[in-house]
Amino acid sequence: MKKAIMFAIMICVARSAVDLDVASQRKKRSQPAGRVTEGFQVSALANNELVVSGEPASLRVRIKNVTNNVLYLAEVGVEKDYEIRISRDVSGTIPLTEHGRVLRNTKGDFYSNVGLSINPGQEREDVLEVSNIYDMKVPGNYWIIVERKVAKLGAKGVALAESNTVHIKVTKRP
Amino acid sequence: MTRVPLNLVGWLDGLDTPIILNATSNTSAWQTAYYDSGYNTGPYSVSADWSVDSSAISASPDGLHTTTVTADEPGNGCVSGNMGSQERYAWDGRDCYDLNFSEPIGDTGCTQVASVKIYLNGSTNVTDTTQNVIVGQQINLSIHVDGTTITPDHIQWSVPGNRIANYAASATSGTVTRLLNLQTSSLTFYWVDGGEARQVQMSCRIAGAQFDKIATFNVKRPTAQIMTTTGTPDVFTPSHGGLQGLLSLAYGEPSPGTPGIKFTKSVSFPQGFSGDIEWLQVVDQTTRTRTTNADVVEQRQGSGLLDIFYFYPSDTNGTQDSPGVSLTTAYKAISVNDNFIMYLMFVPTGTSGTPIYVPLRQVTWSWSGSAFRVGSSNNWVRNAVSNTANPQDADVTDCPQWSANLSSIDYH
Repeated sequence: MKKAIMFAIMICVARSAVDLDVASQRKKRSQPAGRVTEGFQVSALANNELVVSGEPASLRVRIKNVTNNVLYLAEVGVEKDYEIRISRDVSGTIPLTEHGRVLRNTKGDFYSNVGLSINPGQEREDVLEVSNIYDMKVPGNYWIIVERKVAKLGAKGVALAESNTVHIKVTKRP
Repeated sequence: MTRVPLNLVGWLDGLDTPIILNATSNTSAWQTAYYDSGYNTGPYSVSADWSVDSSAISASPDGLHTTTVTADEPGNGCVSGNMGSQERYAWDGRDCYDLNFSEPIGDTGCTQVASVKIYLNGSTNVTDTTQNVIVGQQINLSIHVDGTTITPDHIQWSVPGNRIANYAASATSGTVTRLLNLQTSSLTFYWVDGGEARQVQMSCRIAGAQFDKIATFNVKRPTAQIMTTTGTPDVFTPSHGGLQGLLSLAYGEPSPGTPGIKFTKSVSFPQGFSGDIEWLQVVDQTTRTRTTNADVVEQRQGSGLLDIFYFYPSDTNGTQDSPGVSLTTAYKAISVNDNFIMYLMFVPTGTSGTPIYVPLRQVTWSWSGSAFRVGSSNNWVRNAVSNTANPQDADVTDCPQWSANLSSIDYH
């Protein structure tokens, strides 16, 4: 009898774990994303929505070809591929880090500059460490949107594919 | 008072311990006579009937002064030499009495039969065998001792070929750890280059006994080739890539345009092995100079840097690069001199341990150019440009190293 109860408990625990996994999969699938722009959709997700001041705050950013055609995507490095729009609930501008200032000062410089063919449904994922570019040490709520240049379909020029808004709360160091 | 007038003591000498498996050691029988007076004579060589107590050793011949002990299998073993017996007497100061018993004369010597083997990954005996392995595979060799608990010393490994202790690579650094300590009981390393019939030798001593062992490795390596197609640097406005829509001094433009340099590959894996292939580009040396309108010359310079990506992005067509710099009214002159090395990297899959990426082929390439602005608007005139036209690939067996990422280098 005792064994039977234990077995039943184990089944329940295993089932719960499976359900949780399925739920997290669903959550992943329904991850918020920006609107489709020239065949691409950009989505961003905080690696950790609650960050202690001074710890890295990073996003998992994805860009997906949502068309039925092969599209080309320019890649120059995640820090230049994505332009960051960041704001917070405390007034004042969010300063660049030293690395952020280097990025800005070398904005027109390109070393790796690649054009990749992206198949229908294919996506590319990067980790963008926002706190490496913007100083996020001040505790508070931060809202971040990333933008990426994509080539216009059937026309010259570029359009900006925008992600969903990501919230990261920076807390005081205990 | 009863005293013993004479006592014959038998003993053995010469037996080594440990004895190396399949080796021999001689031992001989001796007797010494001890008298009650304190006087003794000998030693005398005597013959003995020889016997052993375990299958670890055997003794032959029998019945002679010296026998040869052969180490048959790892373990402990004792050899006994029976040298007969002696009748015991006592002396009371006046008469000698027979004590009516006899005592055997002999001695026993014990030894250990030791064998030393080279093990791969802690469990596979690879001594005197040939193993097929592949570059980038973690090789864990260790000394396995049977028959004795004595720890080996004076260890010395010899590993031919280009081998390293480790290769740690990330977006910020790529570092090779050389294999320097070859005196350890276990040895972990990676081969970077391939080669057939590589003999790894290991020598050590156990209680002074010398052991020399060999394991042979066929180090497989994928065959690969990189093909390149190059364009021409120029001042123009790219229609694709990071500089799209910006007047630039650039080496081509990314696909679907014509890249400055395009890399395609062909790779063939050795039979029985699989792995992954990646591209990796290192900035061997770069100098970019820009002159502000106030005639301040700013320079961005560096060497031994990772070119942004770990690993370099690619698609089914291979990879490419179209470096350049945008030309704006903020500057009046720009010059670029970039030197790169593109690597084709391989990591095995399905092998034991933690594999590392190793290089297969490399392409060294460069481009340079300069331009100056005319007038107050954004009109730029190109000076001389150059590039390595369709550079050939080459074999490489040194892992690429870098000390920083290019993105950390600023203009000064």
